[in-house]
Amino acid sequence: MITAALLQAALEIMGLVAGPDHRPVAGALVIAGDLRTTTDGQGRFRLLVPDGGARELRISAPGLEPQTRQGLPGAPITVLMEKEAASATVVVSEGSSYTSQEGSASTLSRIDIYTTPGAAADVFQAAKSLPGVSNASEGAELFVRGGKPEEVGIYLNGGHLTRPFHHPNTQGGIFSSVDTALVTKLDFIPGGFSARYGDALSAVLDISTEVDTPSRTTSLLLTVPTQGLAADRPMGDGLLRTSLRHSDPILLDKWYGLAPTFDESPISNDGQVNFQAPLGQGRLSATVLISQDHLAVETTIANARDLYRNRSQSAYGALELTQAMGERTSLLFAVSHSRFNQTWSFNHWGIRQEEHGTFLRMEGCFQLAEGQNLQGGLDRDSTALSPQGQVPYDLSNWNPEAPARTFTYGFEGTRQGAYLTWKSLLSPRWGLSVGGRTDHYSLAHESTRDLRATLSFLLREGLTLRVAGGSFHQIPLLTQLDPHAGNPGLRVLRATHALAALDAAWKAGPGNWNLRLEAYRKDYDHLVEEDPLLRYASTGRGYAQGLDLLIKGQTSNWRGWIGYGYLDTARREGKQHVEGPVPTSVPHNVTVVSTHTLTPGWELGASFRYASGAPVTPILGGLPDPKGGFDPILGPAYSDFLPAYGRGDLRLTHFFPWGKVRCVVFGEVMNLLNRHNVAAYTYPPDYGHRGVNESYFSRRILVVGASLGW
Amino acid sequence: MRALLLLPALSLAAATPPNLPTLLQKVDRLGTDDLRELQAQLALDPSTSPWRTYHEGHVTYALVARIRAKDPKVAEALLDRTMKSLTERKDPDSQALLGACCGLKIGFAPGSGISLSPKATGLFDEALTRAPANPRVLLFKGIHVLHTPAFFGGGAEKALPLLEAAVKAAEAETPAKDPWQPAWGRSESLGWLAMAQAEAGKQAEAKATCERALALDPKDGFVTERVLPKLQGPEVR
Repeated sequence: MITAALLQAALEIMGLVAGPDHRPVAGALVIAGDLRTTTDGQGRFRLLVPDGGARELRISAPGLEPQTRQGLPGAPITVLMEKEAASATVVVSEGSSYTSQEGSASTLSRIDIYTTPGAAADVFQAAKSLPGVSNASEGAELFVRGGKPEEVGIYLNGGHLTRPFHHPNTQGGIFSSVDTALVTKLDFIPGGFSARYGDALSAVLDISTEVDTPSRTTSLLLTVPTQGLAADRPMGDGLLRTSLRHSDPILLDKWYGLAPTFDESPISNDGQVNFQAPLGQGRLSATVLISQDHLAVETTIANARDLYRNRSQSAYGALELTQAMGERTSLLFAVSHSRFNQTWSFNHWGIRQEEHGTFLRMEGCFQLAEGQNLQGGLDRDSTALSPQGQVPYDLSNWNPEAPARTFTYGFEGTRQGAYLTWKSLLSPRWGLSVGGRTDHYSLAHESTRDLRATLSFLLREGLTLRVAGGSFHQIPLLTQLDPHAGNPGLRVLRATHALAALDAAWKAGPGNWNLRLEAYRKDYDHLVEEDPLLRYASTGRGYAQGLDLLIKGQTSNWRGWIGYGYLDTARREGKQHVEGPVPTSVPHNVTVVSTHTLTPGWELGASFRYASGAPVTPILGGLPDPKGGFDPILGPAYSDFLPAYGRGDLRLTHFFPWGKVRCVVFGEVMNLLNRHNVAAYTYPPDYGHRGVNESYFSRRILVVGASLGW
Repeated sequence: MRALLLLPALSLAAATPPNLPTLLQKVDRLGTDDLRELQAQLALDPSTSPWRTYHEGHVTYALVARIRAKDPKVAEALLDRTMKSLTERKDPDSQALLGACCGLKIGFAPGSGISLSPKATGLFDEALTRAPANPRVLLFKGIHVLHTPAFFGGGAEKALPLLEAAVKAAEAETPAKDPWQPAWGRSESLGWLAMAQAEAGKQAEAKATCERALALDPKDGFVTERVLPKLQGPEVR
């Protein structure tokens, strides 16, 4: 009897199969060549092997990753099966997000920001290379899917960053004051964004400089126009991150004659400090960002030539506290304050403006169950503005005698909002995010309600279909609500978004590829239209619709992407009194970026940007006015176009170690094709003929620089 | 509840090698099949040792290193789960293991190196600050430096001092009273030191180090299958 049992044991492969939850898996199939069996209710199996030899076993069960093991009679095996990796679950997303989070789905990585030729390692310039963002100007401001820059909500470390640009007013600010050396995460959402974000009509850019693991690093940037120093220093359990930058392009200006008429070089400085430390069951983060710039240049604006002088300063401080309350709940508290002073003058026109803003957010996240999250909170924005000075009523006529719009009073607006979003993994293939928010705007005396939703469907692994929609509100420019120079009765602007997107990720040969194809439609209501009696009225409307395509690839020695955006937009807004083209109506935008590793340590990158010309209102001539000047004879609104914008950049980068120092030396040829792009049309005082203001990088420029890190 | 679920396992576990903690100290020298067995036994073991998460992570780390080429999807999913579980742990061994996982993760998403490599370095440095003579921390940092491109301060020459220090630290380490406490590293440090010496072109030193490693464990698969093939000379097998 015992002998028979021993004999049987010598001919049997035995085992136990458990699942990811460590429970026995019943009915798992165990195959060894021609032999097969299934596990019993206790997860056990026995397989009789006639010759008593070892066998390769394949164990499989629905929804679990198959496993191959070596089985030997008399040596029981234990099999722990994992959840099937192929049965990937859909990512429950909100709207149309491009994120810098590292991984295969990353669409805007930090390395892209650093190495994109022509983007000057600037966060905003890099975001401009995504489809749906206009390339029509060289400024860092974001024109997203037919929206204006002020329609983009910008957040830094939890706070609301209202003035992120150097040299505002100068072609939209060429660069931002946020040092990319500190940026660790970037979420850019050009449509259908979460109910978490209020007071933004078109898009959201959420920037973080927080790091998970403190380490001591220092980096020094030395280029012809910009010098910078960034350092991370652990302090106890915390980390202090600092950055200082100074930029003075006067040498470039002199060498290349970019603007030979500078009276004051366009100097800018910025400094950023971020301290983060664990606190209780969460983290505390404090951020301060200060920037300052000035310039004076003789230039032509529309029909007048004179000295344009600008000085601006901004300061931003943010405090963010996160706390986990048990395993399912987390709380977030964020507060930020910003101050902005700007003085500009041109001829006898000019504005001196002070702006103060405070932002507050209190938020809670609660995990209802696995894959079910509830996020809700309250936020409050207040902005005080005190402009003093005057600008031409008609911005195509800067004659000293032209009709003026005068600002003399300060005023303040607040917005209070509440939001709630439910994110649910309905099944491994279906994900849903539904949210709503309500806001009250004090200046407009209006309350708004928005509903937003995104439905995601995993068609198959690596292929996701998303549809999203919702409504969005934003206060008009405060200067338009000015009780004295505007109309305090304006309504809150409204937009509705609808989008459908297909995301694909696949491997082909040695490369990883990503594709996003997205169609969208935005409809605007209550846009601000100029009115002869009320100055402004909420009678405007408009739409934007289009298609964005991004194809991105990466192999071991190459990475690059192609972005194309088609846009059809029209608005009844400002001086455009019928629904028609506006300056943001730029139908075609193309960006091509390619970076090759030539040999280890050497990289060659090239980029090309193209945008069809922005619409402008032609000036047909001038009519003498009674004061001895000339008034412009305007053609049909936005019936003419600037020439198409095109620019190619080439960058050669060499990476090498020098002792303990990591060195990056680069040479970049900006505007390789020496294309003279036009930023605006200009006229003499009598509007007798048309001239051009060329864009800042309107000729071939060689920039060299180095970055040292240790 | 967990104990109830494990009941069926216990009857089989009696037939399996009983000394789980001993096996856990030689994870890096086990083959794929043995690692899978160990992973399953560890998962079903009723022990409540505070080192359990560490060992689960370590076994998975070793398993991922072996299956990533053949089964990258499964490997990456396992690695992600392990990194998540190790994030909360602040002991030097777990921090260093998390740093090592970051290094593996870079292999799945090369673009992530720009953020994960400094993260790994930060984890190693923090772990070394707390435990400067921990051989496993020194070893994982040495492996990371070995795999880091020269431009970013890595390479075989840079890794050698760390791995030599790991060998010395492992030799000097006193046995822990708690059998679950991580105590491995002696053979592994020698194996990786030999690897770095081979990559640095120091063939003779590498051969000598291999012999030291094989004297400790003649079946050391890492040395026999990965280091020795890099070396020339019939006297070393």
